[in-house]
Amino acid sequence: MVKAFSFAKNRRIAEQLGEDLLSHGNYACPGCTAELALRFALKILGKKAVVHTTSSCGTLMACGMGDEHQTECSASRGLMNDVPAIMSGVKRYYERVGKEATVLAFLGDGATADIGFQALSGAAERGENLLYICYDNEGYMNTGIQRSATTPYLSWTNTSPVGSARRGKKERPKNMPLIMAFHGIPYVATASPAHLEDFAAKLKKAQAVKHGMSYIHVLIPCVTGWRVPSDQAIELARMAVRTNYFPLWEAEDGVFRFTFQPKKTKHVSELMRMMGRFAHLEDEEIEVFQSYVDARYRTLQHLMAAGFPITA
Amino acid sequence: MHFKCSYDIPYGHKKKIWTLDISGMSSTRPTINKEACTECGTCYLYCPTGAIFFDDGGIHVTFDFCKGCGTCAQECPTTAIVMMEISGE
Amino acid sequence: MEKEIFEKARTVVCDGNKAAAHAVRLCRPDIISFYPITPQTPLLENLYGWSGDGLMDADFVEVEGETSAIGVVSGASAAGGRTFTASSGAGLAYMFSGYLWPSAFRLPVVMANVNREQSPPVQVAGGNSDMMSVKDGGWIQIHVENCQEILDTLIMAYRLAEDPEILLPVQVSYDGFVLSHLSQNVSIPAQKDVDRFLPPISNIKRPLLDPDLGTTFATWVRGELLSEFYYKRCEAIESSKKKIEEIEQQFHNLFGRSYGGLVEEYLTEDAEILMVSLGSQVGTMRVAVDRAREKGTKVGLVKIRVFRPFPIEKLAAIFQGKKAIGVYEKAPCWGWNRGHVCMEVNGVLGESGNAIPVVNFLGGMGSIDITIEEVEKSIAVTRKVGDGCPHKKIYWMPLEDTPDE
Repeated sequence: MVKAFSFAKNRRIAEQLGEDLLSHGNYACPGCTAELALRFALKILGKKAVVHTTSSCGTLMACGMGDEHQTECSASRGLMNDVPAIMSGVKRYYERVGKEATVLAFLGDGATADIGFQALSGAAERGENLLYICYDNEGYMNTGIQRSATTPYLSWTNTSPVGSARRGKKERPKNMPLIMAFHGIPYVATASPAHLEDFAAKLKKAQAVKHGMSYIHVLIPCVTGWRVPSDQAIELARMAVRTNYFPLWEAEDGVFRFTFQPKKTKHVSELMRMMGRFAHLEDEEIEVFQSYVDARYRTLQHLMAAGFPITA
Repeated sequence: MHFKCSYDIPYGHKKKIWTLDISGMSSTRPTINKEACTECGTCYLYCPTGAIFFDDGGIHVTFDFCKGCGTCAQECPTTAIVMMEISGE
Repeated sequence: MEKEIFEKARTVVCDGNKAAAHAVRLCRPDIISFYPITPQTPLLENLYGWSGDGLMDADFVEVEGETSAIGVVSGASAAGGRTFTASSGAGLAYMFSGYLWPSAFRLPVVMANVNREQSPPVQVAGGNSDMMSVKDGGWIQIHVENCQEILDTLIMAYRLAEDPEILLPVQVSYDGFVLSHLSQNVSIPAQKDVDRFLPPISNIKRPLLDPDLGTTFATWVRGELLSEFYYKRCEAIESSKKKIEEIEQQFHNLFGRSYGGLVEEYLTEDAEILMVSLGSQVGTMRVAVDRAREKGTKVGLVKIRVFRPFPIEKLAAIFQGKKAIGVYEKAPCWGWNRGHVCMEVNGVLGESGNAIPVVNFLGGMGSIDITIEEVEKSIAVTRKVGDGCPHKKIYWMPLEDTPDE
């Protein structure tokens, strides 16, 4: 428990925080919001967490070196294609012998939406009691900024280059949180590192689920991959929510609701101009991007307005 | 034959947590104006490395853990934190 | 069936998959996970059937692919459980990235490999190419000859894997269709006797992934540490040679059956030439060896039972003084223009300084029959090789016209 000073407007968050379980020195970039997300999540989830990572940015923070560890709680890892399977085996054995633990994944968008999607989808369908946090930095950042299934339309990456012959990523990204919601799992949510009280509430709800998988998709502005100054990541996450590029919502047993709505929605160009990976965009392209953001938001609004649990 | 590890597999079990020495990596460092600081805790919450902490003496930054990202200065609601260039060293 | 009757010792007529299923049931695994693939499916169907009738208490995880099957058992084993999985052919190939995991992290996983030819080309047929394609996975690999041996070896496999000095994954492979689907007499031991032979896995002290310990499993390895872990693994695999024989002696004391440990010999002492093989065809070859002996050829038979670790010392001693060696096997090694076993036999001879001519016979691929007559022809060729006649290095038996002329 952090000894609270005034903590002014942050008292509600501060009161929920436990010990910092993560090593303070690691290879994450300065300003890395993935490091913030993991550190914060472990403070909320507590010492009985068994955190799983895979070869990615996340592993540099939690996987341990040689015979030393980087977390006060237990940790392990898997191959990029089987972490949910490994966690299923771990959790099933703990349940069999009556051991209490929060078996959690901290995996990137690559391991979630691409190479590890099969294992994730299978574990969700089987109703494995896992807490899955996808830290979405919208690309394969650890291997040097390559495009993934969640990289946005027209974004620059090293494998969706910008030049005379190409204008960045041609394809539209997968909507991972919606895909997971349509697996019919008990709890799905989106979260932002700038909205920590919201993130904390969602982590607690996810941890309380005992009858299936809970999935939290966190938007992780990547200062290196998105070409952003190292102190702008939190402001960027805030703007992503304000422009409805990344709405904050949750679905509990198929009932959708927004958990935060901006008072005044901003145009997506205000978000894009903060990032170097969109520096090449023309005004018409930004308008097309805005239309995609609007379409996704309208889909969510319809789901919110359904009035009944939506299951697949 | 000389061995460094008491186990036969990679298994992190030492009591001390492995910490990368990043003390010399940053070119800037946060300085806190204690008068402007309202101890709201925003910098503590948003610091990715956990270099900022509180105790009876107030708010402190552990420079051994600070990468100089500047998030604390950017997020401080009373602009009590300023990133200063580290000179000399 | 009543549980009491089910757990008694009895003799039944059953196929290899059912024998394997009985062995797994008797060993009381905690977590079982497979993805179905012919010819392994009846194995898992048996286990599920018993689980459904309350005759077996294990947690089953129905995964969506073999990569997840090996992932689930690796995770459960790291957490402290006893596990089981099985696969064949293309499933084993698909599993390969995860297959490397239990060996690297010294997890006592046991799996059954019901041999099927590797795909592509696509076929549904028995063969050894799947087993050979994973021979470098770092597992202990034992290949068995008949249904009784399947059951006994799987029980011994758990003892071996969980031995604190070993802690390595063990693969028991048996020929698909020939053994998995055809029935033989199998003697099933009593549950209480297997419980005596195989203590609970929780007794074993080993590094675990445990929420109360605050340790990290599978950390990042840097620098010299990798050499150290590789060396320790090599040593453990090497020391399993002796351990396999010790465990077999203990099994024999309790159940009255044994299989020779690493290698089984048949009429090798006074033999002039030797036939070397592994797997179900050894039964056929024994008959052919008897027939050849009746006709005056002094031939012996060596069955390689443990393929990894390869029984170098044992074979070198058996080969001493022989005139020729005929290696009869089912899987070609791409790039060597020989079979895998032949390659390894050549290695043994090279290391031991024995300049004995070796002739390789490839047959039985794609589930075609290895007949007694075919084996007799290969014995005849080997005898000619022993007499100094010129010969090819490799005979593809299904394609040769008159190999022994």
